[in-house]
Amino acid sequence: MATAHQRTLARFMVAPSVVLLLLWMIVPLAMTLWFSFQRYNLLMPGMEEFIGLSNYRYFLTDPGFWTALTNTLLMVAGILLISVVGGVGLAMLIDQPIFGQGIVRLLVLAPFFVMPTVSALIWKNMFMNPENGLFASLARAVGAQPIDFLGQYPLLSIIVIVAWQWLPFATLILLTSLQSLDSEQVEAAEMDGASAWARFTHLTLPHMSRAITVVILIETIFLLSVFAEILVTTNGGPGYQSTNLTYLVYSQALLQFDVGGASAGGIVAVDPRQHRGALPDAPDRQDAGLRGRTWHAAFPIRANGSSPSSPGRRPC
Amino acid sequence: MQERSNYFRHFMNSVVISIGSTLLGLLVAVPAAWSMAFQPTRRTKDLLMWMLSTKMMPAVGVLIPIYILFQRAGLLDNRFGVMVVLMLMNLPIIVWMLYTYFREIPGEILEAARMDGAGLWNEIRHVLTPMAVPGIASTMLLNIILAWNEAFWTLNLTASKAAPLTAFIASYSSPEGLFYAKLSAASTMAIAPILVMGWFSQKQLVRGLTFGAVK
Amino acid sequence: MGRITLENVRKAFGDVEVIPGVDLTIEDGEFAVFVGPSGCGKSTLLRLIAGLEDVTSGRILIDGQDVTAAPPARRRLAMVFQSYALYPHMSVRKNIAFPLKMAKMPEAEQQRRVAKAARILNLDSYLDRRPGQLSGGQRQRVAIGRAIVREPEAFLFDEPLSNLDAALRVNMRVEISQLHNNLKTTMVYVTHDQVEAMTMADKIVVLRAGRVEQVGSPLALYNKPANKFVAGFIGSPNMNFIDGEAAARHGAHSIGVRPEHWRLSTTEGAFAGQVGVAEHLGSDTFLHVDLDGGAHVIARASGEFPVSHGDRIWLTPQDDRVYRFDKQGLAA
Repeated sequence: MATAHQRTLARFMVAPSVVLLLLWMIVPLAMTLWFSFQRYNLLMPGMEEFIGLSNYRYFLTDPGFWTALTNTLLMVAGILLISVVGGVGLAMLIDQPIFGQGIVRLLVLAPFFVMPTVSALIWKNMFMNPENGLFASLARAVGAQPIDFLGQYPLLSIIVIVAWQWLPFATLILLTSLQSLDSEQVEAAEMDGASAWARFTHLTLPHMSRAITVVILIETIFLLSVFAEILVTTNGGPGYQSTNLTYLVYSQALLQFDVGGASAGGIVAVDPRQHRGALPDAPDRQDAGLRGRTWHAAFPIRANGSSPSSPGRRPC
Repeated sequence: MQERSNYFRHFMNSVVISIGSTLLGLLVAVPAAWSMAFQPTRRTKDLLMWMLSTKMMPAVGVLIPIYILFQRAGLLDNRFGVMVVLMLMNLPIIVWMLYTYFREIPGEILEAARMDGAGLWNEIRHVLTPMAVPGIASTMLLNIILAWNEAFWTLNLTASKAAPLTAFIASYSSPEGLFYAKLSAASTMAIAPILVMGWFSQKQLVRGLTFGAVK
Repeated sequence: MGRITLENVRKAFGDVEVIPGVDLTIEDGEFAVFVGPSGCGKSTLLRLIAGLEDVTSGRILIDGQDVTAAPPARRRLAMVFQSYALYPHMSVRKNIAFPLKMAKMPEAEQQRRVAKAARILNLDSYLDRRPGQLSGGQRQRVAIGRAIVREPEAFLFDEPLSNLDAALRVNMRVEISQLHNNLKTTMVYVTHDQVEAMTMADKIVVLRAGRVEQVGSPLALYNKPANKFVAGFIGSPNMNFIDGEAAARHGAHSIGVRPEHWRLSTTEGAFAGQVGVAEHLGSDTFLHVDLDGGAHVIARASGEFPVSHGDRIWLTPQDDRVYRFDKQGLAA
């Protein structure tokens, strides 16, 4: 497996992926950084000039920015909370052997496969619509005043919609993890006289901790970029009430055509320090060690010298 | 009739973009994952982590330059342009998934083939490919699902001609486009194929979605 | 013909030297066993012969022909792997025929050879099954079948029996020995089990940390171990070593006595001690004895020997069976 010829070949085969990803990451990011120091508006071509940190000053002092930042963090935190807590509960419920597991599993998973624009529109028009949505009808049926969810509680509504999509993801992963719990361990704990609650906190939760970490990490990646759901339901409004950073940059660039300002926003959004609050394991430049540990703990790769063919660790 | 042909066009856009980006991705990722799984070096681990970390970057950070570059290159509202972006976006996932599948193919089997006189080509054709097909297939399936549902780049880089279903359905958000029956029909058609694929790939889904961290 | 010669073969992985330099000749038709503890480099040595690893320096010759740079496929060797490495997507028939197919042998000849191998290995009724449907022993046979159809210059075995249960292992050991008697082809066999080495080998190569400690026939190693390591490794249970005054009486830094070379007595002898555990097997009795000086030794008595836990016992080594070692552990 490990002759010199093959090693050379291997390097050539990795190269395209690495080069592509490098380009994909560095070129646009560098351009964003460059634009962020320019006065650059698509409506005023030819007026580009270097203006230093003005875009940042403008962007960071814009009240919309701080609202968007808070909204982003609230959304990530809220959806994570719902999907992890709900996911643990649902997973334990589905894990009961009596259910028609295959079907239930698929039904629970289904919302995850629904296109974001579709699920947002379904919620908007069929559930949350104050005139003829399902919730409004229910409210009227019990004699209550229908609530305009997206108008009055836009952020919460979006959190609910997005959580509806991601709860299944968390459930599926936690269920898989739950099913790999060694039943002999549970039996041993029962023999040792552990109560159901003690078994849950001392066996089940620690066993699922890695899956929970994975859920948090992966959902965070996607939740920082929630976009379509906002676009088709509230357009970020009313005001900035349901605008997150992604949406803010989008509206700055493609609705107001302020490339320079939006680029400053983009750079701010990419800065991982922004996400620290919502994400205990957020990759943080000053804390590379922690990041390394968390990632590696969640995604253990046994790449080094332990491939089945690698001689390093072969039994002699 | 106009409506229906429109719908069909967007449906085809979705099909072409999701399958196209997946195939492009596999083309680049299969050799990379193969060599990382069977020729690991000291840097392989870091390389994989780095690839994963590119997913950590919010897409919005690169939206503007991509938009401007695409505008200049005439790739806005172009199926190939979206395809390339989705391919790049999902490349780390494809590499990771394939890597975890390839790692499960015991190296000794490839060595056995080599001892049995198989050259690289025969090794790939008779041994590696048949053993890797299930993994490649589920990687493909998951990726098509992800690309089909992708709703940041497809919304921002397409307008009408190349718009896939995500963007088409988003256009129903404006009040004048609000026809429940039509929205429901379009939605159903947008979800159905993916639900079927999801059902087929159920078992492989978890490890795919978690980059092999949970099986 | 399958004479394999290693000339000053070195192998390093990065900075780690796994094989510091080995010279070795395996004669045509010989059954050579590489034996040693885990991590001693025996598998690496086999893989160097197979061509699955590059040598760092040195030469490998097969029948006088330099194959150091030749790919595995060109070396006319067949290998049986520890995991059997069967192709899971092919039937047993296709597995066995695979090397023939790679050699572009005519279909009819392929079938003839597969049928012959299946007959030899009792696989006739399994030819159309997949490896996943076979037991461990059957998979092992398929792996051997895949090796023998090619009629190679030599067979390489990499711990082929380590995944089998104890009873099956004994059977397969005998079968492989019979195969060697019938085919008379060179075989190189890697194991960490000294019993396999003793029972199967014409020539044993004892390795430690990549170095050849001793080469010789099983009985030569048993009777005249070159050093303490070989003495301790060959023979079961292991040789007992006694240092200090008792060893000095024999003019050595350390002496070794095999469990089967003690004379036992319940009344008198050279070493007195107390029986810890007594294992009565009927055919033999193994006694774990705590000598008065503090040393712990194992003694074997043929047949039954009526002592039990806590009894006093005296041990006397047979005079011509005391192995003497100097300070460096070399046989004196």
